[in-house]
Amino acid sequence: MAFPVQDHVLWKSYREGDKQALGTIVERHYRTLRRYGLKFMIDEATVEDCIQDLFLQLWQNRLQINDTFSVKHYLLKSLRSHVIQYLRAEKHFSHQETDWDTALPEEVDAETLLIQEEVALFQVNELKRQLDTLPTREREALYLKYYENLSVCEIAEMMNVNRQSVSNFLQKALSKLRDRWLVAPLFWIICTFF
Amino acid sequence: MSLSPNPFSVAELLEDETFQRWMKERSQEDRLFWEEWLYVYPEKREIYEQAVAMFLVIEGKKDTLSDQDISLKKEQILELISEESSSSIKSLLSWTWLRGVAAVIIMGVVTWYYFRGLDTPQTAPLTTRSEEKGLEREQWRQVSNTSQQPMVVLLPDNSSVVLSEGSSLRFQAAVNTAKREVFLKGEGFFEVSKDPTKPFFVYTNSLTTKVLGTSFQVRSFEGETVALVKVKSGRVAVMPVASPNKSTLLTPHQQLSIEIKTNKIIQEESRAAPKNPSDIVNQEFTYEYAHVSDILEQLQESYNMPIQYEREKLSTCTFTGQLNDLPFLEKIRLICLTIESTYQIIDNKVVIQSKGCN
Repeated sequence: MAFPVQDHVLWKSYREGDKQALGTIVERHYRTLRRYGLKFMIDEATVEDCIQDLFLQLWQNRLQINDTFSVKHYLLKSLRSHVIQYLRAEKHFSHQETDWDTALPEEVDAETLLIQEEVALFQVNELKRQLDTLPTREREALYLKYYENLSVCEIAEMMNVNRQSVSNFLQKALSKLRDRWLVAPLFWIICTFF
Repeated sequence: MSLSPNPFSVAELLEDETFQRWMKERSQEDRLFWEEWLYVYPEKREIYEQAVAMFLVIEGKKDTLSDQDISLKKEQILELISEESSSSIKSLLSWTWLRGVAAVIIMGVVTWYYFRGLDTPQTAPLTTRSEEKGLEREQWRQVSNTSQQPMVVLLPDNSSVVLSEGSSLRFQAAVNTAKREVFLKGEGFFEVSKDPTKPFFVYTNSLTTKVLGTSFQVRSFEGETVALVKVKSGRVAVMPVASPNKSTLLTPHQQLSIEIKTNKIIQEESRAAPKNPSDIVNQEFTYEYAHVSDILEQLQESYNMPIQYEREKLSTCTFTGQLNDLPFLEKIRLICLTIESTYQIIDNKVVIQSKGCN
């Protein structure tokens, strides 16, 4: 098996003027970026435009762009500022509040995921209800931490808050979700009995 | 015998990279790993299920992009870039845009300085790899059973194989390779020590069997028309040599056979009434206050390996527990651990040293 070229190697080539390297970076991170952008509840076309602009600017500014520890983090962070800029311009929205989509997957393939169907359906729906009650910033932090696997430090930088606040968001969100859990399985057992 | 990850909370499992990869990519190989994982840690099923539910909710809607869509997007972006380069700077670069760019660049610099110290070049693995190659070439061992009884073969990774009469097994003498591989002619019952980072492969002329840690039987004698894999515990994947990409997943009490001439595959439940109940693949090793000497007798018989111990000293020792599917030496080790004894292998014989039990 050939090892794929690492991100930071591509990054270096792109800054030296290699268009194909930037192309590969696009290919590699497009899905991640689009998925993240869509979470802000803006339509697909707008997200795709933001991504396009992001890469266009990366190219134009390649001589001023620095090396980066994580290309993925760099791109997500840039996309975030593009999206927020768009929201500011188009929707005149105030600084603080962004939206965060919590829509569920169409279906859960419990068998593939090695979980029980009933557990899956019940817990997933219950959790979604809980997630909806969280502030959008906490939802975003959860996503960046447990879906994109970013570090607390990286998240703090993206969301323009200090690290302690991110840790707090995460802890608060998790413990809120966990507390409900203690009730949920019991409820489920009762449901199956009656 | 520990499988990583070994989380104590849902959050810990959610943070684990192997877990995240499994949830995102859902490959067959990862599925095998997590099945095995749940089998090894039945008490962590709840944590697992909660983590899965949590992940699904955090992940949200599935995206609908195909790889083709992505190639297309890439082409569009590259095209845009090319136009841009030829026609110099356009109106796109108005002041608002420039501000955004500046913010991005500054943050980029900050990250870079912050992490620069961590980003050290990695040259070390190259040397280890070439060492491994050296070992791979040299140290293969072959054991043939020319006796009239089954015999146990102890592999360097602590797995054990009960090799039937007229069968032979070739294996590597060293354990420090990326995967564990053995070549079998004839029939063997495998109890594989758990190590999902090093999958265990059994190659025969017609079938390849892949496991992560489990017990199963493989039969593939030259001159016989059918080759067979039968699973006692855990999960194994079986691939015909003729079509290595067609893998079949077998679970306990299932078997797969292949007709050698036609390559026809038959998957079925193992027969309800076993042909020969004394065959090790059909035996139970579950005990409740059983006399240790009785257990040792059974092991001696099943594995055809002499076990030497002082009957009188052990007369008061009992053992309660489940030793199914553990490799031979692991069974011995666990028994010795409970009765505070030690064991050694001397001249192809297990010798147990004990002070007796109170």
